[in-house]
Amino acid sequence: MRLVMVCVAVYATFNAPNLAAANYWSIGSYSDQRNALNEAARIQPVLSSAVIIQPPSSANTNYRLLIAADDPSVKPSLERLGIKGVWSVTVNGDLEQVFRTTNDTATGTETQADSAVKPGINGSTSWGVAGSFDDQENAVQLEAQLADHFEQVSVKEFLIDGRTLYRVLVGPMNDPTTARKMQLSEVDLSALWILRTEVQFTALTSVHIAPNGPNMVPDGRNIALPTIGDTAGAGTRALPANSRALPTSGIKNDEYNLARLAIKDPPLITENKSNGRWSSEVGFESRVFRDPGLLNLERHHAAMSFQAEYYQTWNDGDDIFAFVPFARIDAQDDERTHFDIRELTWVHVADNFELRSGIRKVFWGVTESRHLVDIINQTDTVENPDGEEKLGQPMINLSLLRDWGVFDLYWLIGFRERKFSGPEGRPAYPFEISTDQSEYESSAEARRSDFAVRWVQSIGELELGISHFSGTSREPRLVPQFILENNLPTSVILIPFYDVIEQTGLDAQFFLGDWAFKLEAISRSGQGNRYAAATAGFEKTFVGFAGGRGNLGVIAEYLFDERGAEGPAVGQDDIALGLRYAFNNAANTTALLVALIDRASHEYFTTFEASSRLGERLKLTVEASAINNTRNIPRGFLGLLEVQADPNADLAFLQDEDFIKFELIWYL
Amino acid sequence: MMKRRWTRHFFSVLGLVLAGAAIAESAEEKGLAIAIEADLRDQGWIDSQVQMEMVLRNAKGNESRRRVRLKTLEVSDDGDKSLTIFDTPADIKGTGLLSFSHKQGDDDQWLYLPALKRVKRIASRNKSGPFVGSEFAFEDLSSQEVEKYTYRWLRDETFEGQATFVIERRPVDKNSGYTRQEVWVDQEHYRLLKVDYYDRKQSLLKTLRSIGYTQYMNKYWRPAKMVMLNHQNGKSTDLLWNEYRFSTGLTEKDFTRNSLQRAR
Repeated sequence: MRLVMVCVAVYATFNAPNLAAANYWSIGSYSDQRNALNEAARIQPVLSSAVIIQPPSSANTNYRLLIAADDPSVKPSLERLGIKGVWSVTVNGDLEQVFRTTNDTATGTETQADSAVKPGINGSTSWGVAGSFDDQENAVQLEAQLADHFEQVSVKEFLIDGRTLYRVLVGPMNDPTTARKMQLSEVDLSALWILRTEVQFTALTSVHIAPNGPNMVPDGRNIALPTIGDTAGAGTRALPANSRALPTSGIKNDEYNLARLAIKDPPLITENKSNGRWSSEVGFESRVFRDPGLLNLERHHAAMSFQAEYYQTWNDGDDIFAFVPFARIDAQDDERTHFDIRELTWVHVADNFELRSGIRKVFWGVTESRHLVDIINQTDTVENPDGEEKLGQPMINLSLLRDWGVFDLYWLIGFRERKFSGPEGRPAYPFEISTDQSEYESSAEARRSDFAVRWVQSIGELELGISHFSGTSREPRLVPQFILENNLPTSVILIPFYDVIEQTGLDAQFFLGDWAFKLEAISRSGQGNRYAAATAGFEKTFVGFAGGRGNLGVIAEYLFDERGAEGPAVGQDDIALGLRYAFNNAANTTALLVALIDRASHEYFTTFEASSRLGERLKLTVEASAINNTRNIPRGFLGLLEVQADPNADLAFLQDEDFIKFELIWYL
Repeated sequence: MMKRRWTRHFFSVLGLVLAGAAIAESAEEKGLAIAIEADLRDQGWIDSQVQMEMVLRNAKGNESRRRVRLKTLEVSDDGDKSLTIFDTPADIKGTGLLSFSHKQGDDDQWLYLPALKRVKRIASRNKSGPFVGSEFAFEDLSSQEVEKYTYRWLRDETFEGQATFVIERRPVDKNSGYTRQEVWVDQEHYRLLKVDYYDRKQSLLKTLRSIGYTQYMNKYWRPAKMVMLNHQNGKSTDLLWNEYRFSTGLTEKDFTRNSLQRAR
C-alpha cells in the first residue's frame, strides 16, 4: 500500500514544478549526467523510495542523487549496497536552492565517483526476480541453485509495505544475451519476472525514479510468490524441485522472448494482498399508484437509497472482510425511511471449510414465483413487497466442503422483526399492523438464537439441497385484535405473532437440455398443525429466439399450500406463468413477466420487471404490479369480516395497490 | 492423469505417423494430427490467472467495456474448469460464472448474482448465445478440446508472412451455432491466428483474429488481443488479455460453489 502511495506521491511531485521543503539523503554527486543515471538505475530496484536526480544549479554544479530522508529503511538498504557516505540535505521548495548542508562527512564522493563514464546502461537496467521470500534461508537456497547457471545471482532485501521480502535477483542484465541465457537455461524460471528501472532524463528537470513509478517502463511477468514464494507469516518452506526440463519447442524466437520483457509489470501490490476498496451506489425511485386506495393516499411516491460496500481481502484472499450499509429515504412513508447493515462480515477460508461470521445475507432456493425454502434472513417488506429484499442477519456460519457436498451449519444470533409500511406508506393495508405490540412464542423474544443446517450438492445434471431450520418464524401470524367501544367491536388492529417453528426444506433442480425442472418443498410445524407446501415447475429456454440474439424463457410453476384458505393469500392452489427475455445486448437488457393465477378465487396477480444499463454507470429498472378480478371490500372491521367470510377474496386487501416503479441507480 | 492422457495422444499420434508411413495421410487425418499437436503443445500449464478487458463495439463505433478476472484450472481428462469474475461495469460487479467444460455434452455452469446472494445453475445448452452481449459466443470462449470437432486439412498457406495450415473443423455438438470453422494455424508454434465462423445457413458469420502472441513459461503461447468481427451485424468485440500468470497454485477448491460466492 505504501509503495503505491509513494508512486502516487512521486507522480504528483513530478508534475509539480517545485518540491516542498524536505530533508533528503544525498548519495552521490556526479558531473556527468550518464554516471548519475547509471548509479540511479543500479540502486533503485533495491529501494522502496524514489531516487531523485537533482540537476545542476547555482548552488550545486553536479548531478545529485537524492532520496527522501523520511524513509527509515533507506539508510540500511544503502549500506547493504555499499554506499556509506550519505549526507543530509534540506531542499526548500525549488530543488535549485539547497540552502543547508549538514553531516557532510562524505564530500569526497562528490567528485570521486566521477572519474570516468561507466559503460553503457543507457539509462535502463533489468534484474530477473526469480523468487520473493519472507524467509531469507529460502532465498539463499534458491540463490545457490541458480548460481550453477548464472554468473550474477544475488539476494537483496526489499522493504515492501512494511514487510521484508528477500528477492533473488539475476543480473543486472544490461544486454539481451543475459536475458536470452535465462530463457534458454535448464532451470525452470517460469516464475521469473523482470524488475527493470529506466531513467528518463532531460537537463534541468528533476527526475524521479520509483520502483514501477510513472517514469519507468517496468516489465516482466509471473511474480514468483504464488509458485515458490512464502506467504505472509509462513515459516521456512521447502522449495519445490526446480529442474523441469525445458521444452524443446517454442524457444527459437528470441525476439518474442525478449519482447515479453517489455510488457507491463504486474503491480508490485500483488506481492502483498492487502487491497481494501469502497464502492457505492445511489438510487432514485419513483412509484406511481393507479388509485388513491382505501385510505385515500398519495399516488406519487418518491424515494432515494444509498448503498456502499467496503471489501478487503488479505492472506492471499483467504480472509475477507465486507461491510455493506444501506439507507432508504422515502418522502411519504416514515416506516420505509430506514437504515440497515446488509453485511458486516468476516469470512475465513481454510482448506476444507469456510467460517463466515457477522451480519450476512443467505439465499436458498430455485423457483421463480416464490421462495419457500429461503428462510435465513428476514424479508425487507418495506423495501419491496416482492420478498426479494432481505435484512442482514447476525450469524456464525461454518461451511464444510466435502466430496459429498457442501454442508452448512448456521448459528443465527438474534431475530429481526418484519417491518410493514406505515399509515402513509404503500402498499397500504386496510388494517393497521401494530409492530410495536409484536408478540413472541419464545420467552427470549427477539434475542433467541436460532439454528439451521443445509446440505447442497451437484450430482450431474441434478442440483439438490436439503435444509432444516429451527427457530423463530420469519413470517408472523397476524392476529386480529378488536377495539371495543361500549363492548362492541368498532375497529381492528393486527398484532404480529412470531411462533417458534421447525421447517424442513427440499430444493431441487434438474436439467434436461433446454429444460430446467424445479422443485421447492417445505414441511413446517409450530404454526398450528404441521403442514406442507410446495412449488414445482419448469423453465424452458429458447436460445436465439426467433433468429435473434436474445434468449426467451418460458416459466410455469404450480404453488401449493396444505393449509388452503387458512394459509397465506398467495400460493395455496395457484399457477404461475411467466416469460423471461434476455436481450443479450451490450446494455444487458432483461425483462420478466409473471402472472399468478389463484385457481380458487380466480384473482390474477401480474408482475413485470425490466432493467437495462444506460452507459457504464447507470441502470434503469422498471417494475409494475397489478391485481385483477378481485372483490372490493370496505376498510376496517367490516372489511375484515368480509375478507374472512369470502375465501375468494385473498388479494382483496391489495385491490387498489397497482403500481409502476421506476428506479435509476447511479454507481459512484 | 496427465501421463495417461499424454500416452493416449502419443499412441494416436504414433498411429497417425505409422499410418502416414504406410499409406498417404488423408486430409482428415492430417487435420486431426494438427489439432492434436496444437493441443499437446498447450498442456501442462496446470492453472492460469489473467485479467481481461472486453471492448464491445457496435456498427456505429460506440464502445462499451467490461473488465473480468479469469481463473482456469487444467483438467487433463476432461474440459477445463474456469471461474470468471466481473469487475465492471458497476452494475454487474462481483457477478461470477463458474464453468466446468466437458469434452462431450453440455458444460456445467453456475452464475452467482451478488445482489441476491444467489447461486443459480444455468441451462448451458446455451452454447451459441452471446457472452455478456459480446460477439463471442459461450462456445468460442469455452475450453477448446480436440474431441469437440471433426477436422479436415484444407491447404498450406502463407498468412501474414507465416507458414500456416488451414484446417476446417466441424462442431460435434448439434447445439453449436456453427456448421464449420476455418482455422489458420501457424506451422512453427501451432497457434490459432485466425478463425472464420460459418453459421447454420453456411454463410460467413464472424472472423476471429488473435494478435500479439507472447510465450509464457517457455512453452505456452497466448495472444495479447483477440478481435471478433461479426460480418452480419457489423459489431465487433476485442478481448485484451493482461497479466497472464501460470501455475499459480490453484486447485479444485478454487472452483466450487463456495469460491464462486466469495469471489468479488
